[in-house]
Amino acid sequence: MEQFRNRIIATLASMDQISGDRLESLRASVDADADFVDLEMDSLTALDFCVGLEDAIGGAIEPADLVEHPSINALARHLAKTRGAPV
Amino acid sequence: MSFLSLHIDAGRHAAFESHRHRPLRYDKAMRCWNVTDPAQVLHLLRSPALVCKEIAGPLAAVGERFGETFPNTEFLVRNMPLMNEGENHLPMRRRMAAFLAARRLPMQEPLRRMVAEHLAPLNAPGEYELVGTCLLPLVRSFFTELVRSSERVPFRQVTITRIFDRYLSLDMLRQVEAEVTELRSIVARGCPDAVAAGEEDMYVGLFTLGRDSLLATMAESLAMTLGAHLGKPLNQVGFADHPNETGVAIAERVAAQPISVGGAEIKTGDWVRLFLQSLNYSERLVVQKLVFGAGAHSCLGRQLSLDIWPLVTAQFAALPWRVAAVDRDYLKNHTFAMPAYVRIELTD
Repeated sequence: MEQFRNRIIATLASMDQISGDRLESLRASVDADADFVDLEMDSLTALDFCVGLEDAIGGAIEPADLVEHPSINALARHLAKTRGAPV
Repeated sequence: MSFLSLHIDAGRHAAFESHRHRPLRYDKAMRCWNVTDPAQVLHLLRSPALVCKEIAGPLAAVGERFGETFPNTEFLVRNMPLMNEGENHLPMRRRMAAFLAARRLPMQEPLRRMVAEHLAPLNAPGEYELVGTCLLPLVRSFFTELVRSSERVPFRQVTITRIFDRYLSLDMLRQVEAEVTELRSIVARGCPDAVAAGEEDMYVGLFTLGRDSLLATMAESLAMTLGAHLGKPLNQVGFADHPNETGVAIAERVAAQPISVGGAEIKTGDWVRLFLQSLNYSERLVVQKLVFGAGAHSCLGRQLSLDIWPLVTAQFAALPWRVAAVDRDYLKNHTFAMPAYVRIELTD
């Protein structure tokens, strides 16, 4: 799960659309199940994030996955459970 | 239970009942209002305060962001009544309604033949997968005949209607583009007169929305009805006179002006997710056949669906079997209840 979480955070950190303040707060609270909703991503940014994450770990990630697994930790847990190790 | 998948959850009937008269809540994760109370759904469907979402703009933005183009999908969304509002919408809707009305009478005899042909495999007891064996071929024949295409429409089970899905991935968008491209080429080859008459847009729109709506609605209604009468002879199953479930499970709208409903103040620009399915679970509403929706964007295929459904159920009711089991699952789709399969077991 740790590997997935690191890649999720790295993907978010690489996105211009996520502001520095939000990213800092995200980094500070990753252990506390920071919610994606707190990042206030619009739908295009969410799609950007999914495509970036697909590049980072392989396989398909849909914006709906961010709703069903609405935090970094929840998404990392889901990916770890369904995919094994990241590519 | 997630509102993202409530429409395909086996417990949805009970959930809709328990949500009755509950104050509306804004879902932060989904960034929308989820409306499951049938009276509220009906009120909002009929309200001019809510409009269909504009897709062409976001589609172009996605294309620009990822350096891709989706010209055929853009063609589709610019020309479908359901994806347009205001002065564009009414002429599109009238044209499609006139086309369907004109085709209704000539379709009656072919419909009887098609239903008999495509349900014929059920003439012996056994296990059947209804979608692939009967319903998809029936829908395919129906649309081929409806538009008098010289080329049979090669419907696959891919669900082009994911274009209505706010949670569409880039990969799925590419698949939708490929499907619309294929549909346009079929219309060009199979219906050259319609293309010459400037009706390609209407035909592609019909194929797009009509196919998934009809297939999903028949599959849902049959699975629900048969599942409720396990062990009964089919001639004692009380089939409703119209489809009693809708495959068009959810309509998403955007508030064009503020509106109050269910103790909530919906602001301009807010997304609203209307669970059309909930309309089926009220006696008063069933009488009005609200399975086809209401308001400016109600189903244009309503009358043809009402023609097909009794033919299908009469064919079932004439079978000398009992339904011993019904099993089904769904394809991933956040607005339609698209069947992946409906397996039934018929015994004597």
